[in-house]
Amino acid sequence: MAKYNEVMSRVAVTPEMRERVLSNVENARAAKINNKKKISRTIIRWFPLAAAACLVLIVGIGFGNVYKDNNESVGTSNDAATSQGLEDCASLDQLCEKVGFDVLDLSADIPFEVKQTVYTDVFGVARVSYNGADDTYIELDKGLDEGYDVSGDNNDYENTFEVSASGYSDVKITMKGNGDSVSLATWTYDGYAYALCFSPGVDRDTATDLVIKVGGLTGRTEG
Amino acid sequence: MATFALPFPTGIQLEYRLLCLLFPDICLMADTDGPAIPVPKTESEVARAFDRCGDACLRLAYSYLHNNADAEDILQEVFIRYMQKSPEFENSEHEKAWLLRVTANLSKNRLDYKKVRDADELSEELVAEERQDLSFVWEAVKGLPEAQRSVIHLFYQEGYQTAEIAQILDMKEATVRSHLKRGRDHLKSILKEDYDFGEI
Repeated sequence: MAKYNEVMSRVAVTPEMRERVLSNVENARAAKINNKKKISRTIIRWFPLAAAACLVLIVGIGFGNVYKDNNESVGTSNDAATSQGLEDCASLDQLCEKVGFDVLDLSADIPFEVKQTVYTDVFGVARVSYNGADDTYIELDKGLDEGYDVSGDNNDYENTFEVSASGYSDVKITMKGNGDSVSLATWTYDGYAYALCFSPGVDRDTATDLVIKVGGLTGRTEG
Repeated sequence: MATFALPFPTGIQLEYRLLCLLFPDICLMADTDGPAIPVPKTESEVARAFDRCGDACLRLAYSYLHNNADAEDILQEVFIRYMQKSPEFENSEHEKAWLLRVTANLSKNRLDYKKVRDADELSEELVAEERQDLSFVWEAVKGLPEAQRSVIHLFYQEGYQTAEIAQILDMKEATVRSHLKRGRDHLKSILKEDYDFGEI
């Protein structure tokens, strides 16, 4: 033990390393603030014009514009999400490369026809949205377990309860939803925090099956 | 709504406040009475935590990655997250445990993605100094499976109890004890008379 401690005593932060690391932390802080300022200023600069455009659009709709196309008008809201610091990726592989860990492809297990899959790096949390028709979606979030809920879902639900996957009594899955349905499942396992959001809500068995699949909670026999 | 320090004219400020209502994430400062946009740790808070826990984080990262450059990368990422996430801690030990937990998670990620460099400066240094005894111990610990190595490191180097290691590494305490025993058995069989890892 003393020898191991002697070995490890040779690994220490040098003054130069301290300077480098703290300087880079401050650079990261400055970059984040500058990014927010840039976004804010861009929005502020264009806000009057955007407000006027919205007014014209609303008036136009009010007068019964028969040429509106619902599918095209949905696209603009996604741009706002991107501008708030979320970074879309072209594929699951690119997302995994960006966040630095694997994320399971759930497309074969989604209980509806997936029309569009969106891969997003949300400040180090991998988010995969499987979107179906009529605003149906299932969203998977995976990030390092740092004691935070990675779902970002702060809605109030009628019911909150904990379940365990068979053979994984140590993995507590927190489910939230209204009535009998589950809209959100969160859990941590093997150093990662996970969340699955369902819209509309699904039954408990469907939610649990997907949690087991996502978390790799299969093949263990204990418990 | 929070006030903010940008030198905008009053009209723009009102618009900015409206924007903050619509898009809280773009605001430069968190609401004092609102929820949950973490206010980043200050430069002095980061420096204080770094001076207290930097060595421990660096050593844990090195125990996983076995080279200075990767360990320093992890150290930097840990403190960027510390600054950005700005978690609240009950005390300084809680803070250190959080930092070590993030260090362990980031190090494991890097190992999973095989982005680790080959150089092991510690090993080279011990060989250059002809400290065969220490070199022998380091190579033996390096040869342990990752889970056993991290448990051995936190137990012997950082002095944590098995229950605390279980929390840091997100394992059951029984699993930690098992890794500790297997790690010690493994080291005992390799190091023989050089073995000096005490029992619990």
